[in-house]
Order: sequence, then structure tokens, then C-alpha cells
Amino acid sequence: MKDLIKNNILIVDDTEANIDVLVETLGDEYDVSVAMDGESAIEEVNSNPPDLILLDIMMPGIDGYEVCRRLKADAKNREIPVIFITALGQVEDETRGLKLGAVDYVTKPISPPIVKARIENHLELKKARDDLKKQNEILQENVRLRDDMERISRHDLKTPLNSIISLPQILMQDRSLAKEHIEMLKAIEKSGYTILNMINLSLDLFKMEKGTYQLNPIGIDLLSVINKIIFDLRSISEAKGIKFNVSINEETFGILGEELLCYSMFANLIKNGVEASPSNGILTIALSKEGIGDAIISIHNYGVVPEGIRCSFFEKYSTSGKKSGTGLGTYSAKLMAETLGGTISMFTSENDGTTITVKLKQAEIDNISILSSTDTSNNQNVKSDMEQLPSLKILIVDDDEYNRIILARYLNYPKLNIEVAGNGKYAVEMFQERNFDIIFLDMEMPVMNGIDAACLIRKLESEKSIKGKKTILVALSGHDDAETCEKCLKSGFDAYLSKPVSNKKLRETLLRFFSNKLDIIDVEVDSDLQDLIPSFLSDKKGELETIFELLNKNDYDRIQKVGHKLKGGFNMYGFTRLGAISSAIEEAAKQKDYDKIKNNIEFLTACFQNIRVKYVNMD
Amino acid sequence: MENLKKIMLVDDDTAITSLLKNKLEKTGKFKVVFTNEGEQALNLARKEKPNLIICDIDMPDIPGGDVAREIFETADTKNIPLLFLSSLISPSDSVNGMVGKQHMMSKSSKFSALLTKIESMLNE
Repeated sequence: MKDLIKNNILIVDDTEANIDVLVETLGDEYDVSVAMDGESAIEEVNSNPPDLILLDIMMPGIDGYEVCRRLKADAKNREIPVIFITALGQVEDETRGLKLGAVDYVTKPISPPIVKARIENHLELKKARDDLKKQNEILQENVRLRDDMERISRHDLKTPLNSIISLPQILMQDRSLAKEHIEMLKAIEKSGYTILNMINLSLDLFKMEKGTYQLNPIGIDLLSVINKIIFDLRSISEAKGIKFNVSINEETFGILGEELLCYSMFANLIKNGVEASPSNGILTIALSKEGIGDAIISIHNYGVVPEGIRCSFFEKYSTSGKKSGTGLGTYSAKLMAETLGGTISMFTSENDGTTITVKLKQAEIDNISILSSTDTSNNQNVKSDMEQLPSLKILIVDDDEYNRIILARYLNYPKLNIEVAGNGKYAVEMFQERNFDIIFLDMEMPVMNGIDAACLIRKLESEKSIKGKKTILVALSGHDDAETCEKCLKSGFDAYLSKPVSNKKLRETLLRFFSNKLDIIDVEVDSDLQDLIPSFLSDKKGELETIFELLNKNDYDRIQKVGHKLKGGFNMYGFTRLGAISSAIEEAAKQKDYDKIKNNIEFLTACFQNIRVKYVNMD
Repeated sequence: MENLKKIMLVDDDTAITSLLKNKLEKTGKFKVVFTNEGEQALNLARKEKPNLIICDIDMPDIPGGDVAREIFETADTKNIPLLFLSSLISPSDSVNGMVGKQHMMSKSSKFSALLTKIESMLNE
């Protein structure tokens, strides 16, 4: 059976005798069309593109070479295979034709079987090429789709999560709640955090796969991580009667890694172990140090890995017939182990059960724990921290009503005056009517988004030219990649918070900008200046002391000069915040305003003591 | 060492002259001489014959405008292009770049912007 649709072949030749032979040879199997010269051949191709062209070289008007050249120059005709029919039979002519992009040539006089065979070959080749191209397009489309899905689900899931995580926190402040209700709310909040971690981790895995994950390893105590995992898994392990046996010789077990990454990896492996273990069995986790700097963690249970998946145990989508298994658990564990610079291996036998061995690097433990300090920080501290805030006018801008309510509830303090707006346009209008100290702006909003609103507010500020008075703009975004963050900071935002915004993060942001107690001021300085900075700073310190003495002598003239010099120096070296305060001192000295000078000198001295210089390459 | 353009700095603040000297010489295109005393500017300019002078406009003891006037009124230095640096203006001010016929830049300008300015003045 031939294809239902016949292939279409265009014959281009100025000699009728040749055409007749070819039509007779090909007419049965193909749809044949004919052109007698070059110009009409090109017309025919454009109006009715053939699957293959047989092209004579010597023709009146434009010759076969030129026809071929023009076809190949046209993107839409380029793919049509061209076979030259040549009476010339000389090597140079044939190479010239092939160089122009023809796929083959046949020589006159024509031998029908040879022509047929060659045409068939090239039609098949073309079909194969077309199929591959189509498949490639589909594949590329799939990859794009997957990337889009990753991004969309990550972002879109985070917005509703905001309510799931935050509303329980607000409800729990109600003192009339029964204990069990508080337990339920805590459970909701905890599940929200679990989903959040899963979303974050899924993106991290994606990055690890692509090799773009940024690892920031510190020394962590793996023993405490493992203990937390065992605690978190207690419901499934107790249901199955599994006992844990953690074997270790020391009190702590320091490894180089990221706490959350290690938690995810070992939670995966230990959970798998619990599921694979026979009921009422023992799961042994052994931590030991080996050689120079290696940390060995082995997880053993008495289940046996089925023979069929032993070889592909750590490969993607490898599952052992678990109904709900995604086959990603062991695969992601392997990705994570390798990202941490380690290795992972599995040994299984009918008699001894299964042992997973992870090899990581030993390290001294840094005293930071992410897991133990996740959310609800010490409430007492927060309260007294908030006392330090001056009275502030705050505007919260978000199109999501719940988000507005949540943020407003978090900031429910007597000294804070909160207003809300549903999109950027309203926010700008409100900003024009009355000034705010700080505006929280959601990024994605209808009518006017956060970035546009921020740009407009900054523009209005510069038109009004309110000297020294600048509204703090904080971006709220469902994305938390460096790119989005940078984009926001470049558009005039002072800070960037990724959603969901916790109570703690929100308060920290306020304290950062308005607390009387000063935080560390990070200053980025050109690394070229590394040699100059120490003497620069000690000079400036001297000048600060001088200016204090001058104030005691009421020498406003010289205070103005020193203030001016401080301003120039600080600005030039990149300490712009200190430059601005120096400028205020200079101005106050002009007005001989003793109190203002004194306040600003004290402020400048305090800031100066809290500087943390970071050298960066500015080129 | 061949063909280095010579730039002369005038600023009372040693922190600023050492910063600019360091950064300009690191580009490999310039040799930098400087003085921290406005009164010495004319003498130094006559002695060094720089291709360009960068002068702080608001020095406490002698205003940059006076330094510039001396230089412009002296025959063998009057054709040296001069760029004022000022901490009174900010990089976003419209006067950043030119004030009338006078070249002027904010002290808070990015170094790359200063470099572009210097090169365009040298090529005039």
C-alpha cells in the first residue's frame, strides 16, 4: 500500500522529450507538475510547493543553478530537496550544484530506475527530517511548559498560602480560645509551613538538576537534625511499630551543609526506610567519622529492595510499586547529597536488609539553627522592640483583601497608623494627598502594579524635592529569586520581602528603618579602595571628635566646614547614608541650630560605629 | 609608560585626592599629580603642564572658582581643560555635567561617569 496522499514532484526542463520520459517514469507513483523555464518554476514552487524538485541546468533565461540559489535563499522553500538533471556530467558542474544546496544529481540520458530510486531515497530522508523537526519542536514546547508550570505553581500557590499560614497566627491571639482549638490552629499553620517548604524545595531541586543551585554551606549538627526528623516521623513509625536506634559515639555530629537541605534529604531516606521496613522492626541510623574529614551516615532497615529496581534505585521515577510513590524521593536525595559535595550508595541483600550510606564532609558546628528558630520568636522581645518605634504612618497596598487584613493585624500597635489600598493607582493618589513614612507594595496588582507605583512615587518625590524626606518603599512579592529582588531595588524600593510575609519579617523591616536602636549598616565599597579605607575611616573618626569639640566652643563656622568635608569624603567613598547625615550637620551649622547639630553628630557617630564594610568589585 | 595623560587634582581633602589618584592610575591611562592646597594649584599646573585639571569647587580656604580664575588668566595654563567637582550638587541634578560653559560634576557621581567625562574632555 502506498501513501494515500501522493508526493508532489516538480519537473523543470526546457526539452519536451526529457519531460515526457520523466512524466512517464514518475506519473504513476507521484503527482507530477511541470515547468519549462526557471521563472515559471519559481512561481510554481511559491504557489504550490512540491515535495521534491527535478531541475535541469541548461535552460534559456535563468539557468538551474540560479533557480536553485533563489530557492535556497528563501526560508520557506529552503527545505525542498532539489535534484539536478545534468547533461554536462562533469565533476565541477556537479559539485557546483551540490554546493548550492542540491541533494543529488542525475545525468542525462535518464535511466528511469535510477531516477526513481534516488527520488524515493530523498523523499524518505526529507520525511525523516521533517518528523525529527516536529518532534524537536514538541519537546522544546514541553520543556517550556514544564518551566512555566514550575514558576506559576510556585508563585500562585504562595499567595493563598499566605492566609493559611497567617490567619491561624492572628486567631491564636484570641485569649478566649479553648486549648484544643489552639492545637488545631497550630496544626493548620504547621501544614502551611510544610507546603511552603515543599514549594521552595521543589524549585531548589529543579536548580540542583540544572546545576544552578547556590550552596551556602555552614557547619551544622546533623544529630539534632536527625532527632527532629525522628520526632516528625513519629506518627508513621509508631503506627508500624518501628523503633529507631541511633548509634553515635559523640554528643554532636558536625557536617558541612545546609540545615534545610539535610533535613529534606534524610527525612526522605528515613521515611523510605520506615516504609520499607518490616512491621515492628528496628531502623538503625549510624553516624561515624572516617578518614580525614569524611562523615558517614548509614541508614539500615530489614526490608529488601526488589531486584528489578536495584540498579536504577537512585534514578528519576524509580519506584518500588508504592501506590503513592513519585519515584522522586531517592532521586532527590541523591541530587542533594551530590549538591552537598557528597555521595550516596545503597547495599541490599535478602539476609541483611538494606543500608543506604551517605558520605558528607565533617565540619565544626556553627551556632546557627534555622529549624529551631523558624517562626514564632520570643513575643516579649518583639513587644519591647516595637516600643522603640516612633509613631509612623503606614500604607499597605495589596489587591488581595486577606493579605491587607493580615498585614494590618500584624502591625496593630498604638503608635502605628495604618491605611490600606487595593492597587498601585489608589496608593499613588493617597501618597499625593498625605505623606507616609513607609509603604508596603504588592508587586502583582491590577490597574497599576507595584513597580510602576514605586517609580511614580519616586518621581513625585523628586518633583516635590522634599529634602531628606523619603518614603520607605517595601516590595512584597510571591517570587523570591535574586533577579526579582534586584529589579525591585533598582526601581526605587528600599527593601524586598517575599511572600508569605511573616509577622517577624514585617516587624524586622520596620525596625530596620525606624528603630532608634541602630542595626549594622552594610556599606559596599569598591575593592580598589581596600588599601585606603582604614586610614580614611580613622581620619573620619578624628574629624567626628573634632566636630564635637567645635560644638562645645560654639564654633559654627568650622562645624560647617568639617561637616562639608565629612559629606564629600563619605559620599565619594560610597558611604552615602553617612554623607547625608553630614550634610544635615552642615546645614544645621549654617542655621547655628545647636540641638540639631548635636542630634545629628550623635546619630552620625552611632552610625559610624555600626558600619560594616564589604568590598565589592564595582567594574 | 608612553602616552599617559597627566591629570592634576586640586582638593583640600587628602582622602579624596588619594582616592582619585588610586582609581585613575589603576585604569592605566593616566598619571596623576595633586595638591591639597588651593594656593599651590597654579604653580603645580605651570610646572607639570597637565592635560586636565580636576578641582574641588568648594574648598574652605580658597574657593575653587578663584583657583580656576588664576589658571585661566595665566598664559601657559589657560588652555588646560578644567573640571570642577562639587558636593553641592547630586548626580541627578540637571547641572551635573555642565554649568554654562564650565564642566562640573557631582562628587557623588559614579567613578565610571567621571571617567567618561574625563575622556570626553581630553578628546575635545
